[in-house]
Amino acid sequence: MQALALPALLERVTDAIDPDRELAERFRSGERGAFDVLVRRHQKGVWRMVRRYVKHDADAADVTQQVFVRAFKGLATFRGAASVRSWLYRIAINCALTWIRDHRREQPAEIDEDSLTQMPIAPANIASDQDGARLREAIAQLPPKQKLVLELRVFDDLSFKEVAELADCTENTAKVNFHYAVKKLREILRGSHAG
Amino acid sequence: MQDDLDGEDRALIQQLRELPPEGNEPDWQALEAAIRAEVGDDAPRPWWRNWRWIVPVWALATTAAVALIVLHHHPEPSRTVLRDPPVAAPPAPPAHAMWLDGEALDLDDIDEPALDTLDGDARAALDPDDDVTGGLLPILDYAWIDSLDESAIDRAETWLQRKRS
Repeated sequence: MQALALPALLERVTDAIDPDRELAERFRSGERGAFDVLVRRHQKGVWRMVRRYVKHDADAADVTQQVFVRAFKGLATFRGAASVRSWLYRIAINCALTWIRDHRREQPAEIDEDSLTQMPIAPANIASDQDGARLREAIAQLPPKQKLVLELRVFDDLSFKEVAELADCTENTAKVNFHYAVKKLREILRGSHAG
Repeated sequence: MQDDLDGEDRALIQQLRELPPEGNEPDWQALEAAIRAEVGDDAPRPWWRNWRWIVPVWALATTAAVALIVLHHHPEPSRTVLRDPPVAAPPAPPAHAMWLDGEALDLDDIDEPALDTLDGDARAALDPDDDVTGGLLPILDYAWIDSLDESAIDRAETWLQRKRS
């Protein structure tokens, strides 16, 4: 019983002590260097999240830059209701969606040009790459909310509290969505195997 | 709810976690430099931080103003409206008896026809057409005064002075 409760307790403590909050505070009091630390800490996560929406690496880098420019302007008035990371990821989702809306016609439909030119597939990795592609296809078939919750939880390693903040729902709803997303994903994968 | 996941679910989640990230990661240092170049070297401050001094200054000014008002305010003595005591109407002058032919007459005792007769006489006496002066002084025409010589005027003035005294 205690063993089950401990991870949840640890997660709560980690959430309560936001390691970025102190940096945000220092930045607000005029320390410009604190922002560079935040960039170094989160640019990878932000880029990966943006890259799931924007299908070119260079575009993802541009959007990531835009995310941090926006964060720089907004951090002075950041109230700290959410964690700095989930606040940054919220900006990232908004920027990515805006980018998709503005470049709707330029988005590749099926084949990612970058993956063709920059990621030569070694013969030994063909099977695992096929598995990866199959998994990504299955994720793409999930309902939007379940997809978002699953990706935030699995790929971005966010806590359910942070997932809930980003998905605009309660923590419990986020957990329910995650549960159904995993079950649905298995169904899809079973169907694709059978097919 | 997450605890309801079985072994296969957990294995699937693990498989998802091990997926390589999509795309090729950029040069992080170059990205950081680009962000730094874009945002500049000065941390923006919220607008109210530039106006933080206004609250203590305002509080100080208000306190000073209130203190000044309180210290310089001399309460005026309560104004009592002084009203003049009601002035009694002056006593009516004693009624003078009307004298007629050397006898005092009480007007109330005189019957009305007699008063009418008296009024008629008075009106007749004041009628400008009548010569009440007995022909000595013409009333309407004072041009005769111009024809008086110096000695006549001196005599008239002497008479008037004597009359006044």
